[in-house]
Amino acid sequence: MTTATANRAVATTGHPERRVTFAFLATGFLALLIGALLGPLQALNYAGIDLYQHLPFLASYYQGLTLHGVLNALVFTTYMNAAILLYFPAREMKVPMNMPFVWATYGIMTGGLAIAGVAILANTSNVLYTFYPPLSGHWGFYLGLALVVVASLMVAFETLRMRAVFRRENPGQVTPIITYMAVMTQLMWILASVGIVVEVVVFLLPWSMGLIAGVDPALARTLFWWTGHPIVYYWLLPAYISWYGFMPKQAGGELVSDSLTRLAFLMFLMFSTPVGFHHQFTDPGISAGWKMVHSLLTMFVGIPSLITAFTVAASLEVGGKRAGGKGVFGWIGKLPWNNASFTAQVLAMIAFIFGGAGGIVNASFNLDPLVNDTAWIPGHFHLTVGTAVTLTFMGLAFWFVPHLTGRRLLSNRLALASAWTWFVGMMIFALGMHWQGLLAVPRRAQISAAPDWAYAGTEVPAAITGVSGVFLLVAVILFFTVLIGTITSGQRLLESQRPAIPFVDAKELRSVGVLKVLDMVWGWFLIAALLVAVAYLPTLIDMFINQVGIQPYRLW
Amino acid sequence: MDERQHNQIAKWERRWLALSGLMSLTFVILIAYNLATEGTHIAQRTSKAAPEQILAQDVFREPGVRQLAPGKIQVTTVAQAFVFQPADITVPVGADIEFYLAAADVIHGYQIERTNVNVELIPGEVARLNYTFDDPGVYRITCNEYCGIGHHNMLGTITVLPASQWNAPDAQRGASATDGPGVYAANCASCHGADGAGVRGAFPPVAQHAADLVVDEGRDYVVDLLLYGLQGAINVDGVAYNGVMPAWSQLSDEQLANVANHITIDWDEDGVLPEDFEPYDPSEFAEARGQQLSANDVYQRRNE
Repeated sequence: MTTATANRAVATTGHPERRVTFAFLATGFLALLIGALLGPLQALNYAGIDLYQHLPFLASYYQGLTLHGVLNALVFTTYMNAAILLYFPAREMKVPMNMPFVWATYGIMTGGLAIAGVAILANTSNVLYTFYPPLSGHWGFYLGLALVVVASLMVAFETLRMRAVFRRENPGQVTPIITYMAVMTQLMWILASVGIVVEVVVFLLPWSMGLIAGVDPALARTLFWWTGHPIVYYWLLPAYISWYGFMPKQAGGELVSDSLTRLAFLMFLMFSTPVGFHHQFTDPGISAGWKMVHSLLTMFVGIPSLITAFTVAASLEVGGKRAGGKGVFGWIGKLPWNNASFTAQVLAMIAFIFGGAGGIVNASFNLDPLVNDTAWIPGHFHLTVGTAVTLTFMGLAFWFVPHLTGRRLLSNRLALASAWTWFVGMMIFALGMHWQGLLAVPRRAQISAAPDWAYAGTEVPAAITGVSGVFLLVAVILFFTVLIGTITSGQRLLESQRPAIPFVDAKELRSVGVLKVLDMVWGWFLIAALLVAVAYLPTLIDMFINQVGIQPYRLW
Repeated sequence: MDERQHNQIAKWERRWLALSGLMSLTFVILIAYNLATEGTHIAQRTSKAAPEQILAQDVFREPGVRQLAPGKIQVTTVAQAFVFQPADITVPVGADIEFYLAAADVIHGYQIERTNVNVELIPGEVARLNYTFDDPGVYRITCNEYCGIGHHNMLGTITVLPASQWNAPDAQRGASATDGPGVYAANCASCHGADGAGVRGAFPPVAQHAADLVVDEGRDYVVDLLLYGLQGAINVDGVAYNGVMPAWSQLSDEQLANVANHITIDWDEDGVLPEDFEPYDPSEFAEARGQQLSANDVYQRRNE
């Protein structure tokens, strides 16, 4: 390509990164659309109403549940992360992406999605998004998911490569704040993904192809949760990037502490992964001592979220006071509540306060048996992933999609309405599900088809859960009307009218020495890896030695 | 942001950090103390082996309730798709109950409502825990780990009686019914439906199909199917199924013969069975137990 044509390409498309970023974003939201449309059916199922029988393209409730979980929890989040963790560092550092590599990444991720999607739609893989063996899906299901994970690691590689370029070109400079958060998220994910990669590539894929006869379910579960808890932070941290990196600016404030922000992300790198046993408190094969260690480390990983609550709230307060807010609470009214992007994300934060509090219950070894695998758990993670993360991504989209596509947001008012309905719907859902869970109604069950005697006495919370489904259906319709309307028929914006990225001001660099230490990311990565080894290897080695292979079962 | 405002925020920031750390530490201490003083409900693995070997152990061969000593009860339960064996048990209030739990096929859950008994039943492992009921009443047991299409039907009860009303059984056997319809309702209906119609695409029908099998595959085939299960792709009345029928060898010969007669003779709507069809006799099941077939062997036979 000659220089002249290269220049013309930039002139017509602006930044070439926009198109690939939009591809990730749009595919992610498409997954959310399909997954979220099934959600209200699940909520109604928990109210005893079975609408699944009226869906000709789904064979069962459990097939729909598999689709819902895989698309929303695994696919939507992974695509959004690719968009966020590539685009913002590239623009912040002004380092270009390796475009062919990023498009190849998109191709691999989407190929994997297609393969896994066909396997699920063909009713061959109703194993839910945790796919515990010995229930066995079609090998295409595991292959597809493996490709999605491979692509997510390619995204991580690209984020790290761009930072390396920046450091080479700017010797002595500290990594800029958004990039630092993105890099720590990616390093955490590299360490976290080891578990699921080993589980799928070494065990489940060959097992589902008939190459090995048996898989040890306890070992597979443990490898799954090596990844399964930190994957929650892999979903959450890009939302935190928006909270720390963009929202103070949107509120007219600034980030009050650059170093504390970095410390929070460093703590996520340290403590996100060696905590997986808190998902396995009721597994008899793991010793109580190691479970207690993971319970302790899980309490530590609560601290960076508490730091986030303080720093983000203080940063918004600075904005509210600049706008004329007075007193302890007076600044709250001065925040830009009419801005749909801002409001959606504040509502996401409020939901996360309740989600975090419930999470401390789940992480407590002694309290967890009361709620483990009950409706409480989906009640919990619809506050964290379903609201804190998803509503943040929705709020982000309200300025990010106009920025990428050059189309004005279809309607700020509809966008606001979608955010509020989503928030209210999810809070009602969480109330119903937490309550049902305390009454020992199990999660992931076709309650609407269970015998009548089983859940007598749980009618009130069941009805609450059902009502939330109606709210959430309305929210989904409103949000996707705004999103699709913006993309297809939003008013075209001139290049100068596109919303700029609201990069936060964080000029208060108090101690460059501290920042330099925090910036030694690979050293911290090694320490994190060591901590994971200490927390996991004694149990895993024992499990590897004493494997009992179980044949695949297909029980649907 | 001016220096004064910044310093003020920094001061509160330090207090907040200290409070966060203190709170986490308090929680950890409370958790450790709580478990150290009353943690016997936390399940521990007592052995690990192939599920067939576990189910051959003495405690699991006849799962149910035993009185080991006055005030000391042992409960053994086998979980399999999609029933608990036994599903309904009765225990006395105040007794120290030792639970031994195992899964025969896939992972199941075992949660007793209004208690903190909650165990992951992983095939290949035996879980043990202790619990004492302080209040009489009926407690629902749920399988709370997704185990397949009949997961929501996998339920049980524990009836806790005042000690004076409770009679020590030799063992409250799994599926204590012995009549054909009773055995069917306790063990088969959660998949194949109360009326034997099955679930299209998931569980084949039993009504009429069982009689058809006697005619097409021979009467012994039904005996082997019940004793050893079946795994593989089959086609019934033009509908494809590809699931697993568990083995039911833990039922007694009498229970198996009665349920076989129920599904073949009672549900032979089309009258395909020959006039001189002899009802199944328990001795047929007793003899067939020696073959040591696998679910795949039964499947191969079907396709011959």
